[in-house]
Amino acid sequence: MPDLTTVTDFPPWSIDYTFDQENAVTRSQGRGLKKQARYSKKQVTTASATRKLTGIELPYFEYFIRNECIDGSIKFTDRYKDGSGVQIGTIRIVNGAYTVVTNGINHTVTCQIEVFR
Amino acid sequence: MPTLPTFTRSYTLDGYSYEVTPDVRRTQFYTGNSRQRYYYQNRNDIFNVRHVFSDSELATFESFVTDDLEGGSLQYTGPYFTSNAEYTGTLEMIDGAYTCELIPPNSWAVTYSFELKNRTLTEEANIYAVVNDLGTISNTELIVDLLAELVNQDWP
Repeated sequence: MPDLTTVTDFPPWSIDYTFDQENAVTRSQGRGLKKQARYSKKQVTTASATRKLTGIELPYFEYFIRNECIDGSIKFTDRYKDGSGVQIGTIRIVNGAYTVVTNGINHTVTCQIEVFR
Repeated sequence: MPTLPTFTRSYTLDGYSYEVTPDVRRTQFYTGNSRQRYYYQNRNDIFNVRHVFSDSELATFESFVTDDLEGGSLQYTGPYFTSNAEYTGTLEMIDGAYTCELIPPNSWAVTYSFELKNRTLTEEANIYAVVNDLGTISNTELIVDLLAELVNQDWP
């Protein structure tokens, strides 16, 4: 699996970060009764993540996503933040899509990521 | 293929952005599993840019779009940049549409989006190889020196 943590000090996804936790639970309602049941142990965590990069960190990141992660279609090892602080784990960019806002030196990369916890 | 005229200033850094949307198909299963598949190698990224023109430059730009690009429908050769190096590529204005805003007394802010056809990452590959050899990206002076060296050597 491609690993973005092998290069030391590469900036992690920043704290501008919200995530949705979806559990595989069905809910049914009938005649005033409601029932919930879990049909899978799978948990899907999708986060809106932002990464602040400087200088050549952006071309490095873009080539890693394009070449190592096959245009962001596959999972890779990276740092992310949750309630326990900075973690290293498996993530994937949703649809391989991201947006870059840049002034030539400072770049902000924004995308949706799936966190496989 | 038409070439974008050369103006006094290139795109402003304020408001410059681009979107990467590769042809990756995603399937979400009811169990919570998801799968992504990569469909097409060529990638066309969308850039959002802003020019600041004088009166005469605006007239030149509008004439270029209307006449040379047949209302903005044709592809043309023009500049784009990622990081702080400028490249030349095949561009296509999205819908041929642009917005002009007067900056008093006689300047114009022109914003539009274009699609960069078949974007290649040749210089990005060189940077990737160099950084992996070093094993670190934490040395700020090294980052700047590397960037300057690559700009002076290979970049158009």
